[in-house]
Amino acid sequence: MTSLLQFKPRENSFIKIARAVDIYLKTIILCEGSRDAEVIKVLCKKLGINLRNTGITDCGGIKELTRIARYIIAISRVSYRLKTVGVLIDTDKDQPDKRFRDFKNALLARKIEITQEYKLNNQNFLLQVGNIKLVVHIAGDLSFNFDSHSFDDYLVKLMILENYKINIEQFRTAKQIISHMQMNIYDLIFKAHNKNIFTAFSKTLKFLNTIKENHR
Amino acid sequence: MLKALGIHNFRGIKEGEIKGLSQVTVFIGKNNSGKSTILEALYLASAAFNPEDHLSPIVRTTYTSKYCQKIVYLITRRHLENAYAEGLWYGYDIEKPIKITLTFSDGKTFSTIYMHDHQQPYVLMNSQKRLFLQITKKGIYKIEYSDIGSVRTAVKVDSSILNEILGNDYEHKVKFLSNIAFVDVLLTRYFRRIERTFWKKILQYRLDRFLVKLIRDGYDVNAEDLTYVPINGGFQLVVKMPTTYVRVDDLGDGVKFSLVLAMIFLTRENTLVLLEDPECHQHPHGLAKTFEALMKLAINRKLQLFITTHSIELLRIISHIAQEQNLDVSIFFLERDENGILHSRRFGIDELNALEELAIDARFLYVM
Repeated sequence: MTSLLQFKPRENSFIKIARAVDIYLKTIILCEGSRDAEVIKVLCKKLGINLRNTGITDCGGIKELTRIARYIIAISRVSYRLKTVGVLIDTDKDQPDKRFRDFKNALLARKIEITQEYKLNNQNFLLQVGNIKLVVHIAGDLSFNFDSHSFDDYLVKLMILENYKINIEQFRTAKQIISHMQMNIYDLIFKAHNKNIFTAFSKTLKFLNTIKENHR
Repeated sequence: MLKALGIHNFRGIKEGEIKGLSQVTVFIGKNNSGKSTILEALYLASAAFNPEDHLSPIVRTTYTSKYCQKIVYLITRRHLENAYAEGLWYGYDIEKPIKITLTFSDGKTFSTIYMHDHQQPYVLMNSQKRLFLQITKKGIYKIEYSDIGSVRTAVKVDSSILNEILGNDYEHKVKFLSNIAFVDVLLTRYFRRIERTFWKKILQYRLDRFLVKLIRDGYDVNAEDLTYVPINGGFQLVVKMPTTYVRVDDLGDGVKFSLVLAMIFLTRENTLVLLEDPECHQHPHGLAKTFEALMKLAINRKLQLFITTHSIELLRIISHIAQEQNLDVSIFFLERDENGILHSRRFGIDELNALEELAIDARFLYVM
């Protein structure tokens, strides 16, 4: 399998898996919302990031860390072959460090044993949970003066770098900007210059590269 | 209640162990992963306590006189033609014994052994002696097989022996294992046999009302009652409707299978019920209403259910009802490697729901 397997919508992944002869996943990436998963998919396609044997799904926009922890427990309990689980969490109204700490506590509260922990940079972390590596990306561009920060911040950053006309002060979150602009995410990323993508999504690319390294 | 099961040299499983069985245990996995073999292993183990099963739809074969009913059913259920006893052994290696090990919730563990030249499996005693049993209305008997054909004698078994193997509550455990019901879709073809076996008891306690409600709620048949009507010189069970009647034989396969399941659940208590692919012939509505009824009966009648399925709808239905009824459910995803080793992944309703929310279909867990 060469491309990301997106689990949602369920009907598409059902047919893909049911019809595939030889399919197995080493990694699952868990995003908060469906747009995040879509952006990751388009980024990989645009930049030629080959995340072989990787699946991606989302938590339906749910931001509760306890809920995300529950999903990670379920995935780690039922999988035999997964080596890595990537988790993409919005920074929200916190600082990335605090958000990561809260996420870690949500795991510990569910009696998940964390044997190793690394801070890759201020928004990317690596945890060892049993046989699975958990690569955690706390998403958001803190240079923006938004009420809360999310993965959508990177899209706004890309729009600015691509010279889209946006009056940022009018909006309280990146999500509002994207809704207002009625932006086609696929077109935005595909038409953008690579160097702008590297700048806007630098933290996300570190996250994806860490996942790729763990594939080896 | 059974908590664990071990299988050695049986069918396609050379070795396998399943721990953490619940009151409702569901087995999922690809074809040829060993789901049905697990049900058959439990059925085989039960033959060590009671070799007879008047429910099993046995076709008369050359094996009928040679083996006990449960063994004949195991030999023939997958092959109505060209059935052969050696097929019960892993790799047809009849020199090695088939061994099924069971562990009860109180921790008592024992093994049943089946050898090719035996009529029925035996319980392995600590002293490595063999114990062939048969439960009757009068009690538990030890069977002594003669060397000639099927001649056998039965003597009342010494309770201290059973105490040693199964513990103080051996009587309960022997009944629990011996009254097992193996329900597969083949039974719908033998509806009359089920009806003859159970109807008296069902009518005696007016459990027929339960069946009428099930037909009405699950299958939109405007049933008022079940009764017998003289047809072709005999009597046949029919469903009475406001203006006419319909023979039970003429109902759809889904309704008949649901009736078979309900009759078995209504007349069993404190035992194991093995359900192979109960979604067969079922529309999701009928399946949901049938399982709503069956799982309530399983709680009330203390039945431990082992279910194999390929249906995600059935998993959802079981998960939903289990949450409503506060019922303990374990789901096992099974895989069998090329060396015949069974691998299982156990998870519960919470994990199933989490996977569903992530759109990960539990039937495809082999990809991850």
